[in-house]
This record gives sequence, C-alpha cells and structure tokens, in this order.
Amino acid sequence: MEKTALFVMDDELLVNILKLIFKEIDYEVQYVKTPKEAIEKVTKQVFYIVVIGKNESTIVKSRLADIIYEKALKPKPHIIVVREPGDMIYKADYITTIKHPTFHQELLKSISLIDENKKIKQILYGNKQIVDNFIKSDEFSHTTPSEFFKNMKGNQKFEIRADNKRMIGFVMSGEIYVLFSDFQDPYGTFTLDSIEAVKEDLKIPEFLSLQLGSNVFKMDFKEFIYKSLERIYDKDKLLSFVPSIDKTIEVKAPSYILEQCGFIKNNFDIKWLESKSEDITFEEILKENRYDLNKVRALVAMYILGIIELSKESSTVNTQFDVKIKKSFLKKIIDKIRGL
Amino acid sequence: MAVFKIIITGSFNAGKTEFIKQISEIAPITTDKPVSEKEMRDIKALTTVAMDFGRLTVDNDLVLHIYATPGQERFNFIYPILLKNAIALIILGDITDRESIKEINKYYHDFYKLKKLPAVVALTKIDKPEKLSDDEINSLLSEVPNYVPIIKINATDKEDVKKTLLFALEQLEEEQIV
Repeated sequence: MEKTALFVMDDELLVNILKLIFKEIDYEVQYVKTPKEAIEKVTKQVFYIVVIGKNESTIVKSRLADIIYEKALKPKPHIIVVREPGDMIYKADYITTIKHPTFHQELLKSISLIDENKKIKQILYGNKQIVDNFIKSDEFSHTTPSEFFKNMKGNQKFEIRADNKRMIGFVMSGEIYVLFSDFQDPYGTFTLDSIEAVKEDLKIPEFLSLQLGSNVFKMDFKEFIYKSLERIYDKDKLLSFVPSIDKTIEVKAPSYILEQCGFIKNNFDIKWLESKSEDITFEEILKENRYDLNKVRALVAMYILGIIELSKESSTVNTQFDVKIKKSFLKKIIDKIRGL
Repeated sequence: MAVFKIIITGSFNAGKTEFIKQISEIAPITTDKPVSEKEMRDIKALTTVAMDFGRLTVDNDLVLHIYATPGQERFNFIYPILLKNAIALIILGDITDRESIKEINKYYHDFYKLKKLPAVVALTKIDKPEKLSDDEINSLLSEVPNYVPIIKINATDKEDVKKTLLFALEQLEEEQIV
C-alpha cells in the first residue's frame, strides 16, 4: 500500500517543495491549511506521516500534534513538527522535530535584489542628490551595531559601512529614516559583527529642507530596533549585545512608553515588569520566560533603547544565606544603623 | 528604589514592637511620611495580618522595612511575601519565660525552611530579676545551631537594638569577604 502523508501548513511554497521530496520517496501527499481540516482527514483516513508547520490557527504545534495523534485512526501516524523560533515542542516517540527551512525565502529575497545588470540592487530610498551630500564627516569609527544604535540620540544623521555596503539615514523625533542602503534591507545591520560608522547632528532647518519622497524608509526607532533583532535567531548572539546579564535591571521609561511599544506589551506584563524594577536581574527575567526568543529580543531591544538600564554592580549572592544584595547597599545599611 | 526587609519574630510579649520603635523613623503605618506606591503595596499586604511595621530610610534609593511577625502558624501564608527581599531575621524571646525561649527553636526552623537568613536570637527583659540561668537557656535553645549568635538585650534600649541588627547583617558582610 502506498504511504500517505498529510501536511498541515500554510506556506504554499514550502508545501510544494516538500511534496517533491515526499513524491521522490513514493508518498502520496495531501495538504490542508487548518487544524480543523487536518482532524477531519485523520479521523477518516490512515496517514503514515503528518507534517505540522505554520498554519492558519493559533493553536501551538505541540498541542496540535497531541490532538492529531489522539484523534487519528489506527495505526497512528508519526508526526513531524516544523519548528520555528519560539516554538516549544515536547519530546515524544511519535514526534520528530525539524527546523523550519528558510532557504526558499532567502533565495526569493536574493533574486528580488538583483538589478537589470545582474548586480545587487542599490536601494535608494531618497533623492540621490541628498544622499551624496548628506554626511560631511569622514571620521568613521569601528563599533558594533548594538553599540552604535544604543548611543544614537535624536536629531542625528548617520552612515554605516560594512562589507562594501552602506546605509545612510537619520533619526528625528523618535523615527528612523533611511535614505540609502545597499544592505539586503535596512534591518540587516544587526546581523553584522562590526561596522564602520559615523554620526553627525542634524539641525532642524536641514531636516525641514530635506525633500523626502514617499519612498523614504521611515519607521518608529524603537520598532526598528526590535525588527532588526527579529532577524537574529541565535539567543547567544542576541545576548552578546548586553554587557552582562547578571545585573539587576531598572525600568527607566515611564509606563506610557512601555505601553506604546508593541514588542514590550506583547511579550511582558508591563505592571509586573515595573514591579520588578531593581529587584530582578536580566538573567532572572530570561529564566522565568525560559529564554523564549521573542522575549530575549524584546528585553535586548529595551536595553539598546535605554528603556531598561543595568545596575553597575552584580547582585551579590550569598552562598551561606539565601540573600541577594549589592555590597554597596549592605554597607550603606550597616553604616546607617551604626550611625543611628 | 531598593527595599530590603528585616524580620523580627518571637512569642507574644517578647518585645517586638519596642524593638522596632528604637530604629524606625515612623511610628504607626498611618504616618504622613510619604512612601512610594511600590512600598505601599507590600506594606498593605503585610500589615493587614496584624504585623508591626517600621521603616528606615538609608538614602534616596534605599529603604529598610522592619516587620514584626507574631510567628503564629495562622500567618504562614504571608511568609513567602514577607520573606521576599528579607536580609536578616531577629528572633526575640522573653528571658523570664521558659515557653517563650523554647519557642525560639521552632521559629528558627520554620523560617530556615523557607529562607536561609542570617539570624540572631535576642533574649529580652534582662532587667527582670526572674530571668533564667545561662545553663537553662542553653538547654532550652538546643535546636538552634551554634553559629547563630544568642545575645541578651533590653528591647527598649536603642544601642542594644542596633547591636542586634548589626550582629545579623555583619554575617552577610563576613560571607562576602570570604
């Protein structure tokens, strides 16, 4: 009997690629986009393999795997879960997990960036004349993208160079504008280990005189930082943007700023976060959230944006006692009591 | 602002309220002295179960809260909140009262199970003639480990109270030096 596989996913390109692979190994393939359709199928027909990818539902893949396995006719199928960043898949002998492939998306993106001369397209968001004369200084310094953007103030022009590519833009009124970039996209700089960069003040009259077309890339600076971090899937790389994770965090921004940032609101209970200010380390927050990648990104973005700051000292953890207090705080308390 | 706590426990009439009065900058919690919203949340949660509360401002960014708890089992539910950010435990016992001293063993172990804090046992009412002998005290406190300092104080004497607190906090300092 021919083996049958069922795909539950909504990435049609990936489905087509997988279909080719499964047909090569003599599988008949069926494909649905929703869990409901998948359950209807497995209750009527025996499948050898069910592949669960990103689909048109909010149900987590682990739970869906569970339901499908439970409802499926006997003999039960083996389930392959295509894991995306942030997915938590538990182990079971009927589940195999594979990483979500991205090569097809990368390939499409790369092709879209080839110009008519078969060279990498230069993306000019603004007026060429503006771009050419925008940055006057040639005093580029060697830095990391996170350091560079962490120290970015309002009303500043910048140019970033790396790997023979450039990005030119400015930050004004909490928004970043990119006039020119030949990086794959404006968010790509955070994936670089180091950059050469320069900043200059942007005076209001100069800003007002800029003739910015509708094609100028413009985005809320905070969202830009978070979106840039979304390009990074390696937790350690993300954490390398923070000098030390054993430091206590202090929430510096007022509540309304936290509420305005979708990436904070979606990842943390803001009241909880504020109540933990100066009372929890960066690492403890990550541990409480099981190093969930989106939460790592949100916390790192908050650090880069100065929404949270890290204490200068590490919390001192006593080995003999369950007490965590900075040496300087302990000394101050003792001195205060001595002086009473 | 960082807030740390010192927990005072002991039997009824062991001098907990007097102890707090010696170092607290406020008398009752209904004081007009401003406290932050964050502090107020903790204080409200804890004072509703009949605890005494004192406060000592160390500097603009650092405050010490001092809580006296009756140490009765019916208040056990509040201990996890109470012990958050606690840095020392003071157990008071009435030196004239055998039962009060005996209960110290239980208080010590009850708290130790929840959180290992630097602790000091302070025996109060030392000016009373009917105080117990050192031998009897040692025998009654047999379940308190040797490394826990046992001192005799007058809970109405500020210097004695300071000494007790310092004995507890300096244990953390010693630990840090090591």
